[in-house]
Amino acid sequence: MSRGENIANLVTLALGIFVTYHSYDALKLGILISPGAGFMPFLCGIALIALGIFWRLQSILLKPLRPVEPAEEPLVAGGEAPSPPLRDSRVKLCLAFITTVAYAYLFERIGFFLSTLLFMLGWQMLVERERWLKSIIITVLCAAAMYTLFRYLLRVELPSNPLFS
Amino acid sequence: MNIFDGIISGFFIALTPMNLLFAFLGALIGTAVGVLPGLGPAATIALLLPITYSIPSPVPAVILMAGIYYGAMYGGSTTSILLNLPGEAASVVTCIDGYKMAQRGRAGPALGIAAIGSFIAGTVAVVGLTLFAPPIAEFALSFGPPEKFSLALLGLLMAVTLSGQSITKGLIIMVLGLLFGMVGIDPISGKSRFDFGVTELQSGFDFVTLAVGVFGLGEIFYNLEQQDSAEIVTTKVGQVFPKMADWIKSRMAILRGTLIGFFIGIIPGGGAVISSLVSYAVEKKVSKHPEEFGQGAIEGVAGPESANNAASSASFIPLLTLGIPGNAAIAMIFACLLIKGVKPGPFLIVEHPDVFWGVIASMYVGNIMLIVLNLPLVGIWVQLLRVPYSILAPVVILFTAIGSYSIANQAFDLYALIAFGVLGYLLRKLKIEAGPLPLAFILGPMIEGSLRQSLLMSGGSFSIFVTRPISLTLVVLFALFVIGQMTFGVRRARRRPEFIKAL
Repeated sequence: MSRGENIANLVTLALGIFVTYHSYDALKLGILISPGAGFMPFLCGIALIALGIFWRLQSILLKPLRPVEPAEEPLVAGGEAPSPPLRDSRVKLCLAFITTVAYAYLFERIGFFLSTLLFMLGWQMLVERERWLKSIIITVLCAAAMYTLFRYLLRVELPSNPLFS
Repeated sequence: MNIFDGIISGFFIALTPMNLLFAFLGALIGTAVGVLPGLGPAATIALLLPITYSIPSPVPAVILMAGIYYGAMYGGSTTSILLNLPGEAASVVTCIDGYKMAQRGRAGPALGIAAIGSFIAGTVAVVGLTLFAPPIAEFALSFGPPEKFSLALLGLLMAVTLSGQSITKGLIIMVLGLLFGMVGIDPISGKSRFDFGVTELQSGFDFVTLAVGVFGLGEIFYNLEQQDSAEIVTTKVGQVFPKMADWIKSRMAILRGTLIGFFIGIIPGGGAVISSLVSYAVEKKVSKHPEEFGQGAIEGVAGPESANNAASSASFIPLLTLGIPGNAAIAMIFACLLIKGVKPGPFLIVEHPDVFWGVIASMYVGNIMLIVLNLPLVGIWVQLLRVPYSILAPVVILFTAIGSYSIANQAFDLYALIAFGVLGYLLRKLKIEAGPLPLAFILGPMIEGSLRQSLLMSGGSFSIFVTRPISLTLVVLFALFVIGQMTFGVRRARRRPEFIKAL
């Protein structure tokens, strides 16, 4: 079991215990002829605990007789391009995550168009590290295209800037 | 209405200009997402689900979604053959011989046989769908809550165990999906569950937010960490129509692939990925020259590509007749039907014959459109690969965000979307199949409702599930399936490296 799997297993067990307790204590199980709101979640909680324990046991008892040779990996990976250095890609991922959260925060506060402009600019400058001019051109074109598509063609109600509305 | 009258009326519906346009759009978008690696049919249908709110009728909406699903199977072979990069999961096995053929200057015939095999298999599978779906739907009309519960649970379990690599992890994701589906007001007792005082959670999570988060945003986050340089297409496509010798070699592979794909596609969880793997293994087994496989054997392209197309069409059978989605992409189409006020299941053919027959007829039309789009225009599709990921990724994120927000016009859904995106990313990192999550989420209310109704009917006794013949049969099948999986699962886990080597 890798470190990630180990954490996932512990999260599964903790979630199972929480769901079981919460279903029993707060939601109530009811009686079999008329099951309460907690009946099905209780069963799910028990299932999570059982599966979590089984996963743990499986990783200890059921190891493959022969490990997969590294040469066989391209079949699954489909010949993907070699990954960039782990640190760089993690920084890129973190920046992408922060940019997306910032977009969610600003979406209603400053309106769709302005928040989309900032998101695209932030993505091009921070995540992709593109040059200023290229970033601005991509940003303006994408934001305008998205606004036209959703606002006018699909007629989706989008938040406008409180200062302009 | 008999089958003949039904399909004729279906063609009248499918051939209206509006529905033809949506079938064409579906085929077009499907081929595009099939070509583009990292954006599968499930994610694309999820991204487009909010758009279906603005389509006035359910028929064109479902025609569009169905077109994307089977269209992606056509497009998926292109990048597998030209770049050794599967556009979607069902085309992984096409890389083995397709790419070898391209390296030997035979990319054209490989692409050609993949498209022609896909067309034949897709059309044959739709004929099967036309013939098998009505009697199955008629049989399912007699199902009560115990049968519905047993069937939904059996379908879900089969989908979980057959689609993923690890049954235990798949089951955990399934339970997680059930729990996400329970958030909000309990429809029977009226009590709010797992809302933790957050008002927005009382109405529960929306399927679109969950689906686009896990499959769309999660995929983008994962790919950001993986890809940094775009591959440049240098392979010459050349003549795409296969020669007579290629035809003779491929004809039985196409036929076998079609049959394998159709029968595996009907089983929940069977789907396109497994059928293409099985087809490849069968072709290698029956070939007089198995040593040619892996070196550019055209049967290794024709069989799997036929199988994945037949499977994608056949997987509509459990959806349209039993209301059981067999895989994540079909679950999105299930959600699309619900959005449009149509409940998939045995009553669909009676209550909404226009949807049932219209969608089936559109699949015949869609297959013809796809072969026209894929054979002569393959060069144009290859150009799509030149779209830089630096533009594609933020645009997809914008689609997911606007799609989620537009459902309830609340910023909370954007945070939920990001949370599901992180979950999707973590599942990909841990190599855990996310497919069972939307399946369980969408079937959860039906499973819980029918379980509670069954217990009410029986006075609180679980014996109701084994005293009714159909439910008993399903329970026995369920038990046999569990025992079979436990027995073979252990052997499979131990022999996995040998299985991969055998392919």
